[in-house]
Amino acid sequence: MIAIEAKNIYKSFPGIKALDDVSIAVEKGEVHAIVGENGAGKSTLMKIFGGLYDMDSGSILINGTPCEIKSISGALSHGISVIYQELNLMPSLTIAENIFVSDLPGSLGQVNYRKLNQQTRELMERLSLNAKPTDLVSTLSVSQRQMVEIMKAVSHNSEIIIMDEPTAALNNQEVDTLYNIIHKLKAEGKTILYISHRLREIFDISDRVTVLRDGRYVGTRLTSELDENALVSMMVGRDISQLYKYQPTQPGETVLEVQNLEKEGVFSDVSFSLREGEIVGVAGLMGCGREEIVKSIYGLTRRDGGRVILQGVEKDIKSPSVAIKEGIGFVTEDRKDSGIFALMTIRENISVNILRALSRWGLIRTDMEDELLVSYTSSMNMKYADEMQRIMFLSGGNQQKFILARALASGCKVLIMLEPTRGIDVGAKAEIYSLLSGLAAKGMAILVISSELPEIMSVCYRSLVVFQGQITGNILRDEMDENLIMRCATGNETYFSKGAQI
Amino acid sequence: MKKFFKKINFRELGILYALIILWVLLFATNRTFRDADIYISILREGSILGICGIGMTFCIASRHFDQSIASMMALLACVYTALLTKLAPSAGGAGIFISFLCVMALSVVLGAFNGFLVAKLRIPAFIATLGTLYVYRALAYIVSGGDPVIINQIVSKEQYGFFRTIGMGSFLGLPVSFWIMLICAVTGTVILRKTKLGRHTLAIGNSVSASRISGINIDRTKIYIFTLVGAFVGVGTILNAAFLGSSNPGMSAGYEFVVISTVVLGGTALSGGKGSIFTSIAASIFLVTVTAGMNAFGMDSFAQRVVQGVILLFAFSINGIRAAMENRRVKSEATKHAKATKASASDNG
Amino acid sequence: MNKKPYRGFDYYWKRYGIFATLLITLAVFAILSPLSLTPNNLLTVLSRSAIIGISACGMTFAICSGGFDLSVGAILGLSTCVFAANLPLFGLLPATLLTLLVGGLAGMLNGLAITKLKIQTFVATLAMGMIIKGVALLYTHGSKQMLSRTENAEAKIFSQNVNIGSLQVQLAPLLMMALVFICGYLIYRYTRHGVYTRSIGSNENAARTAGIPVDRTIIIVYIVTGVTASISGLIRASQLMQGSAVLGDGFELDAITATILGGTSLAGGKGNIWGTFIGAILLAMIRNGLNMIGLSDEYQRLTIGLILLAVLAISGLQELREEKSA
Repeated sequence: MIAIEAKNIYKSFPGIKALDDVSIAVEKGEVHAIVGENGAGKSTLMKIFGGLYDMDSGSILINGTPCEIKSISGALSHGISVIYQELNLMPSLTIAENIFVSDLPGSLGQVNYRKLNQQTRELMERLSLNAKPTDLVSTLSVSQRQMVEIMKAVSHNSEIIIMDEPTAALNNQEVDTLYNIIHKLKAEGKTILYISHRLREIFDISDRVTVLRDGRYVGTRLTSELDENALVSMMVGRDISQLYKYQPTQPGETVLEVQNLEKEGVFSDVSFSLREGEIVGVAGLMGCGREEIVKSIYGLTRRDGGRVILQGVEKDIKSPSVAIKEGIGFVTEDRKDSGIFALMTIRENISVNILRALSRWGLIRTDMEDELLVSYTSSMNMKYADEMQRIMFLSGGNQQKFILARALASGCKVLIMLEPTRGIDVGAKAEIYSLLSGLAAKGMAILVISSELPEIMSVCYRSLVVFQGQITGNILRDEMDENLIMRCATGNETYFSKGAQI
Repeated sequence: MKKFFKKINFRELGILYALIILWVLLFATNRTFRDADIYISILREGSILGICGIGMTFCIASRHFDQSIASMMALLACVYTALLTKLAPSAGGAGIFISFLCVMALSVVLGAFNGFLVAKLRIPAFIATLGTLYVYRALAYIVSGGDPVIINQIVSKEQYGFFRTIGMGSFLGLPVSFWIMLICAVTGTVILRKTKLGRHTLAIGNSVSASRISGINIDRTKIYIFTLVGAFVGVGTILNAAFLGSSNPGMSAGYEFVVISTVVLGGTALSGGKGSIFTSIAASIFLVTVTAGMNAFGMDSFAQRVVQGVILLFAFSINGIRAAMENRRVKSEATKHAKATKASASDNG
Repeated sequence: MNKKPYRGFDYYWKRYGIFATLLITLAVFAILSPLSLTPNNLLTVLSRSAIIGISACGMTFAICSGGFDLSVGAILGLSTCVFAANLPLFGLLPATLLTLLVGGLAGMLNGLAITKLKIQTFVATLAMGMIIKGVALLYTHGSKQMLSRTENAEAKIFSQNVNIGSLQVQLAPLLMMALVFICGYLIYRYTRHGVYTRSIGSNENAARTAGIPVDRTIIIVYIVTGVTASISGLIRASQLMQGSAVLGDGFELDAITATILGGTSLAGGKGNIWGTFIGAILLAMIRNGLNMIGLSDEYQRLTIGLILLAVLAISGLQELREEKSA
């Protein structure tokens, strides 16, 4: 029996076709995994099921009857609840209030707090979360918040539960708890859609798996009939290794060295170095502190202690403007919110770091700006209509190249890139990788922070692994292996390659 | 020339078309509007409003908001006339000039104080300027002792002639204030489009976090923006005082509504990130025309207030409406595209 | 991961700042003007604080929901007009109900402008305030609506003096304020609407994702703000025996300052109803004290404006410190 079925779904956003004629059918009582690379359309599909997005065309059938899911409460009333990737919690409310906010016990508009907290306590025992129902969410850690999200979805008693990357912030033990919950739910006859890009989890937990690629449906298989290689080849289709080939480079002099960086409760005793022509990855789970580490190096956030040494000289980098001056470039993980200046033209976007150098008598010289634009767009193969085009109308991959060009334009020697290919298609991904390795070949020192292990494994010379704010691994390219990195990232092992500079 | 026209986005000139249509309609329906004088006086008032709108364009483009400008105008005007009372009779022309300089300096200080509250003390702009709205207004009462001052009564006849020239005079057939506005507008446009400050203003309006990553000194830029608001309000105040020939501490109450309306009507969204001084000025002439039109048809002043509020509400919602329309357009194109793909797929099959 | 809370100035300010300010203010005025500590004067202060407090209670919900209401002054003005114009025509109860209805309606329009036209709250209420004041001026043709002390004596009910022993007190405003605050607290603390309001202020997107009726909740919040503003209007009309569109001018400053003084954060999500209560008393005390030492309304506004900025600066600087340590 089919619990939920989607037929011929189309959905597009400005500049991107997120779903292109996607159909899937999920049977009742199964754990159905949906996999695909970043930007394959998994999350968009789930948001359509969850009532967060309207689809452009297509139809959804629940238990065989067509229905329209117009809103989140509509989805809930159809028996669908979703755990979203972004943590959607209300920090100034208690755990209990967060979980049951859309379904508060009590009559006549009054809330029965005793019952609410009792319900929550039961649920927390079932899901083994160690906290009080009356704790404010703002006091919880990232993984505890993730568990609250999961409880929220479970609390609705929905027939269909969608989990969008539920393990992104969880350690092994918590992942096991989640597996137990999923088994219990399955035994109760619930249907689960499970999205993850960690292949191991797919094989651990799912009955069937559907693969999406570039917004299109590729196929559905029984998990037991697949092995990892077969699944990967379905996912990538155009194999990235055909589009991009790793160019080995010989690292040169040390450019950046950090010693004993620390910040209370976030990271401690972080030391590593970065050499010319070296691409170093930083792996770790969500909330492990690696973004905070690099942001503190760039002067975006404060830290409590530690030294940053650039080309042998200790620098006090108090703010990004100092970092830029000292030759550090930074590309954000969140392109839309902290990367592009959406309403500004591409020309203005590329020059914003270095306006002083482009000005004469306080006035910006448009001709120099144009030169800058032309030199980067031609060398990086960027597509645009004209220099007055607003950057928001470009594709994600092109936007990413503009942000990269902006960082490069200020003449950096060290480049920090967070999630370099988040939300862009395979072709553009390969181009970004080629650009990075081209830069490394010219002597740039590059730090790549990525949640995609395949990404780290395909572009990096070596990789650091961070667990709970400490470096637990420093692995050279030859020894890189998804399992090893995950073990380090979850604190089960520390591994430092022999002969590797840290 | 071609390049120049290419730079103009004709879709964003809605307010200019609205102004022309309004003028045509009024010309057709009301006798007052068949006389050149009314247009001159519209330009005169519109110019003062437009000058105040220049600074506000920066402010709103950076996603901030300044509610205090009407109070600032009253305080500046009161200080101005108080200085004139002291200096004009004794120091003559130099006295007038010194008063002018003092007012300009004070306007910069008042604007910078707003900027300081917003940037250094992290008070949200709308409420910080709500606070200074009352503070500046109260200071205006305190400075003036609550009494109006008529410029005619405190300066000599020749000196008053000077004020009349600025306030009511014409040059090449157009009001003097219009020419001053033109200078201010060009200056403002150059700052917005051609300088680091302008770019940083827009950048902050687009995304504060991206601006921080780009090494922009956000606090300093914010202070500069509010200082610019103050400076242009200072120029506006001087023209306004010359135009009215007087000051009083309760003057210009609610003027901030009008200035904010002109900027928003001019297409600078409250969500920030873009702005155009030219359209803000077109919008200020539009608003003054609306008021003149309502007067010409004898509408009572209280009803005019309601109309102004409705225009403001409309201007504020226009962006939401536009976004919704855009959304629908994208969607319908996508549906069309989906259908086309389906059709071609079935052709192939 | 749970860190021991940092107990610096911020911590103590958040908890006890308002009480300390209250005591200091009391002491300062006691020194400047001995009369201000007499029981009679203290009771006057209390009943004066009712007008501010009742509106501020509604404002607390608006700010807690992440919004703001700049139109309360205009609504208060319009309410006095409606009450004063209709009392002679229809009698006390219908006029009162009509006034509250008008206040609620104005609030609803605010809510609709915010949710349906998608205008930021503070500009929406700014524009609505302008419209509402315009309507009030139109309605009264810009003049005062006087109530006669003999013919319309029943209007006095909202500000009736009651003698308790040697003390004379305006009991009605006090009772109304008590009622409003008790209801406000119960709603905030123990009802679904309270939880919804807090959750919207805390994270509106999350609230939407959780399936909370966000638009409806916001509209209700502004209806309540409108109704509380018109209750304040009733008391003011009754005290002055008149209605006029300008009676509410600048009133939003008092209501907002009382709320912010009370510790409700502009960031939304957290309200402090009893803090607002004390904030209102504090403001009334300051106004009364300044009055007694002979300072005019201008100086009072200047002071209140500066107090508002100072309180905001304290929380702003705190945010800055957190930002720096983040």
